[in-house]
Amino acid sequence: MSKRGGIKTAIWVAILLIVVFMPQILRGNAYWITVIALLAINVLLVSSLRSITLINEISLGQVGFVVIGAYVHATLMMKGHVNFWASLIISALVAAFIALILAYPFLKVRGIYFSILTLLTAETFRLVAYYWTSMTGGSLGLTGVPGPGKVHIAGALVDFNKPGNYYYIAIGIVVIALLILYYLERAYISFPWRAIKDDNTLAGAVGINVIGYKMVNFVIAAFMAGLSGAVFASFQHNLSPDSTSRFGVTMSIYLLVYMVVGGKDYFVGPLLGTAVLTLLAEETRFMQEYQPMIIGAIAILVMIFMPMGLVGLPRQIKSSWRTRKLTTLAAAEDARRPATAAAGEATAVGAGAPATAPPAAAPSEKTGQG
Amino acid sequence: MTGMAILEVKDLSRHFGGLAAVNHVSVDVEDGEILGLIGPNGAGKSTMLNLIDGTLKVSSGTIAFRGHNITRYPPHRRAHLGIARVFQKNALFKGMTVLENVMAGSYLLTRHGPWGMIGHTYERVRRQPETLKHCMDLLEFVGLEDRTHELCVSLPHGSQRELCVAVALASDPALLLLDEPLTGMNAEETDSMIRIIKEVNATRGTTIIVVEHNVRAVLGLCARSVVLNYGQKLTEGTPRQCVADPAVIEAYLGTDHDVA
Ligand SMILES: Nc1ncnc2c1ncn2[C@@H]1O[C@H](COP(=O)(O)OP(=O)(O)OP(=O)(O)O)[C@@H](O)[C@H]1O
Ligand SMILES: [Mg+2]
Repeated sequence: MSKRGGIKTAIWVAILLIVVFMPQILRGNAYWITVIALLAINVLLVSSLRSITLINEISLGQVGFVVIGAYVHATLMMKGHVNFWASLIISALVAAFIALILAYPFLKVRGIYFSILTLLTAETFRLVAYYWTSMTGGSLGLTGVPGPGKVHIAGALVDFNKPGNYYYIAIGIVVIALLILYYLERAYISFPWRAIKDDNTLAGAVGINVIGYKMVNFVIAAFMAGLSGAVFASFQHNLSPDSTSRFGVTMSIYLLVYMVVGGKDYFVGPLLGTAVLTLLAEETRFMQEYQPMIIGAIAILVMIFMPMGLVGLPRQIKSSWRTRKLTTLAAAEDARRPATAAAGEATAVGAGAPATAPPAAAPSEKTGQG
Repeated sequence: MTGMAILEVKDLSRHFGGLAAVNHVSVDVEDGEILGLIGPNGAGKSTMLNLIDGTLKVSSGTIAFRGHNITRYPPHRRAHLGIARVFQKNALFKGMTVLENVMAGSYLLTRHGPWGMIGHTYERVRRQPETLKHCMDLLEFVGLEDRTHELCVSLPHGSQRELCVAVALASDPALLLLDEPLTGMNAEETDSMIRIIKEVNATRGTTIIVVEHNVRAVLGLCARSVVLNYGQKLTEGTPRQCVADPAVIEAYLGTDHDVA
């Protein structure tokens, strides 16, 4: 147990070190730094999607809160000249506030209806960005979204608008946000969420304010999605509300695939799923037009053969190995039986029958009378 | 007819489309009694309980609990006031262990304010000695103390039913609604469940409304019962009077016309 815990910690430290020193490892290769930073931003977004699965709902609208976070942040910084950090928080709060307004009607419905509502809302937000030209630059997009700018650090002037330096800010925010989500999943609030996930009606009957807890969950997820949008805006410096951009419906589907491939029951699922599929997409860039097909095929294969996702694979293998062992044992037992048997069989049945038979017979008697 | 009414249902109706599942029913439930709610299949018994615990919204009429008009309260607020429910189908928190189910049931006793919900870890709340003792006492009471760490879905039907009762009792309710607690149980389990129900009523003073098809159990448990048929109250009285009532016999067995 503690040994496994040690290994886990070691893995996390290693991952963190690699991520932190990535710019050095890549020797300032701007392209790959961009890929990794966007990957991290997407991990936060997929984690926000996964956090809604804690109340047993699938949101197809996290992208909508990304739109809000990104455009509010861009507007605050470009038109309001607000401080980068303040703007970041305000944008995420605006996304959360809009989620709060929507949460009640959205969470009154469940399952596919919730998913459809979130999907349509996200698309609506994107179209607002598309047509509100005076504010968002419309279809031409918004260019020149600034980053935190130049900051004095230990005597040196560091330009955080450069991707190589902004990388650290993006990673830092994502890590903090993920830690918060991780903590929330261990906080007591996660217990009513679990109850709601298992049985909505029973949760209400034992006194849990079902709609209230669901709203809190939804709002937190929207905050995180909005935050990822704001971080993205300052990283990319330009925003486009095109349907093919990261604000489109396709993106929502991709996020879902990342989560499922990684394993939605595990906190690290989004991280692994997003990393694997993003890097795969990079490696297959030469056949870009087939990428949606490849991703789709992977998603289907994972759902059929690895229902617990990549993170769940070790456990899946272990349990299938165990059942195989049990079945071979049972088969061996069966093979052995006819030879050794008569006496053993008789005692087994003799012991088993009285113990099991009466309770099995009793209910039918009872219902017959009643 | 001497005690004080803990629950007053007045002229209650619930329609599903054109069907009146509960049709202008009035019932007073006295504090501390076990009231039997009986009637043939589809009579509206479960619907009646759903209206009382807030799982369903009423079409018309009022429900008052300990003087509060709770007609429009959502289920969780009714639970706060002291109404608990065991559903007809085994409703449990499927992903949880036996113990965790009872902990979820005692949510009202263990919950914190908004900051406490976030500030405390689940692990910490779970290990609080009072909470643990409260839950273990209940599990012992229903006879599941040996299976605390098993997943609830791995229990046999009868034990799941007992767990449902433990979950409902975990919030220390004043009114317990039991929907067919004995269905699908063998003789031994039936006896044990009847003992549990009686003991809850006797030692905790919990008022109980029990829906049950097992007439002998109703006769043994309840001093008073209400008979529903096609959503309407057919009659009310001691269970013995009720089952002897020609109208009730007709409702259960049907008239010649119905048979033909
Ligand atoms: N959600 C619903 N939507 C539509 N009709 C419903 C609904 N719930 C119950 N009904 C109908 O209302 C009537 C009463 O149902 P109810 O479940 O209350 O009966 P019951 O007395 O509990 O019967 P049983 O003994 O079979 O449990 C039935 O005709 C049923 O079909
Ligand atoms: Mg019923």
